[in-house]
Amino acid sequence: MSRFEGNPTAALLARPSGAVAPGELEEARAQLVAGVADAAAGLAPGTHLEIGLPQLRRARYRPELVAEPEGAFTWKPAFVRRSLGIATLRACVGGRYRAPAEAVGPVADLAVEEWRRTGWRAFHWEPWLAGLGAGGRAAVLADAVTWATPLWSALDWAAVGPVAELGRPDDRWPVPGPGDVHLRSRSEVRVLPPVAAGAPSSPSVLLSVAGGRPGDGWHDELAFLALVAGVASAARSVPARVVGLWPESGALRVAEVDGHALIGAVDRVVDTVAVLVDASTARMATPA
Amino acid sequence: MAPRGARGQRGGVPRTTEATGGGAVGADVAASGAPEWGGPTGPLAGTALLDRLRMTGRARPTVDPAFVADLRAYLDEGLTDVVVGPDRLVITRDRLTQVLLCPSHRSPDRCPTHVIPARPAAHREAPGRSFNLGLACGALVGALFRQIVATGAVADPMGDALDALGLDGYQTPLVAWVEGLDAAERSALRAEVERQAEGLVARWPSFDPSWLPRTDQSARAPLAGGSVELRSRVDFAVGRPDRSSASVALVDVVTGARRPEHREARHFDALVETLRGHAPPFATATYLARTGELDVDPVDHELLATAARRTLSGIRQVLGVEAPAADGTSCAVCRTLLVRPAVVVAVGAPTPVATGRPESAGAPDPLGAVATFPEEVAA
Repeated sequence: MSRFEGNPTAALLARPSGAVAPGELEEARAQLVAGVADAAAGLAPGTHLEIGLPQLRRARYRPELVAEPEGAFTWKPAFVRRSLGIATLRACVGGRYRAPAEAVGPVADLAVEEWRRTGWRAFHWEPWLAGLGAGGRAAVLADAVTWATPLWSALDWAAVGPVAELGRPDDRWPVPGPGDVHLRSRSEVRVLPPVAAGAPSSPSVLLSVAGGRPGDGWHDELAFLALVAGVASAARSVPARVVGLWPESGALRVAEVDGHALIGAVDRVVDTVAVLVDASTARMATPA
Repeated sequence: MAPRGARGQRGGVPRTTEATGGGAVGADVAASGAPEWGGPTGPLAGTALLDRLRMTGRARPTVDPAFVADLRAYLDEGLTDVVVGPDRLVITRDRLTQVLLCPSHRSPDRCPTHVIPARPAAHREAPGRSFNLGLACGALVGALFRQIVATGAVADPMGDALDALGLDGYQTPLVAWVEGLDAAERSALRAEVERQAEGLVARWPSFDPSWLPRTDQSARAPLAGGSVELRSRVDFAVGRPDRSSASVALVDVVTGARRPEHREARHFDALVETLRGHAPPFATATYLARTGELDVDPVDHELLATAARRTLSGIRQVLGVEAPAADGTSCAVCRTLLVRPAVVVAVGAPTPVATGRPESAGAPDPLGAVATFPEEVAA
């Protein structure tokens, strides 16, 4: 049982006990490049693979879905709830609103207004939301509130807010070598734990929110977020801890990140690439 | 669309005009000092409805991790002798309800949450799914309920609901089915959707945002090492989860007639919420959009223990390792009627969407005369 059982705020704010040494990150990076090159050898030229948490999870828990062809993208509330939910939380943490249900409407309206005024799409969904009728718009807002509320109520924002970065840009890293394989990691909250004056800075802690419940590979999945953050930026240290929150099942998991955890994530990426390459090959071999 | 600030008035005043097809619901609600919508003998509305949900008459239970652990252990231990296949067994309240009803009370035309007997003329198939007016009404009113909670107003009930459902790929066949109805069926459906939406706007209270109102909340609780998973989805939840005392209320919105199994369905919701969050809800309720009634059960250990027993029995029956109780005691309808076997659903009976009855009138339901629970709020 984790020492943070039931307390994600403590898991975010407790100073990590260790950190990944530069040599451990280099070792993980080397294994990642070699493993992906090997697994992606059969990838057809021109095929792009993006590996994120959804791909990691699907390949392990629902491999039958990997082989299904992807349909054309169309916006729907499920694709908006996270970004609108995070913007809503940001507005609440900033003290402008008391809770997600109060913030979501004004935040969505402001985003649409900004897009109309400047043409800049901060969230990408602004034109789609602007074109919806009252019923569709309400469905989008309701979905975002339902997404944001568990995170709003799970954390002590008075403590976390001042040191938290909500919805920072995804970490992306193109894996060097043959094949067009990109890694992408996305976390909802990044915290730089407070340190005493004069003490060395501490590695960051990430929080990831997911649907459903944790599978048996949750540790590698959380470590994957740290791995991608580490290889994507030479300037930042590897996050020392990743907290996973599965509100639907009330589950909290914490992965302390060390060299061993990074290698577990590397293995998981390589396995996922292999599954995706197999599926891609099978799709191409199937007559239309 | 009515401004959010106007929502506090909703439910506390009568409509000033009769709602008409396609007209605004809510825009015609004006502030006054008049009695609550529905009158003193009508269904509760506004703050009275809110109080009914908030004040159950019992102290809110304290969070008791040991009791929750006992519940989980009881369920896990009751499944140690069963073998679940390679795929996890998912138990929803609908699945549980169906397996626990005795055969004479099961019907393919009955959906436990939207129980309206299907009219054969309106019952057509879509690929992999079948629809009827009752199911359509449930989905449409469900979408409007979310809209009312999110924005406080509905301008065009049918249009708004179809608009919302059209965004959900799963509901696309239902939307197409509704749009393919003939004029008479569609008109009947529209009338019922507008009537229920009007009632929702007029009666449903405004919830302070700090109480964290949210819709369509789903919960899961894995059992037996994850090979069995309980899943629930409630239409509305309110209250900030607390570590010391129960602080969340769950509400399911039902568009059909009251059924005995609704009560057990909401108890199942309470059980899953307890196992998921380690804290029980303090109340679990069913809002009957058709009549405006709110059935509320305060949650206590006894309710949760009974729900756990029924859930375990249901799982074992789904797995085929336990036979249904021979005396019908596992069937909610039989236990309510105290007669076994009891009523067979009258397929072809008038559907509520076509009745146009006043909201306070009794539903044309074969069980309506006997299927009330004594502890439920009086209409």
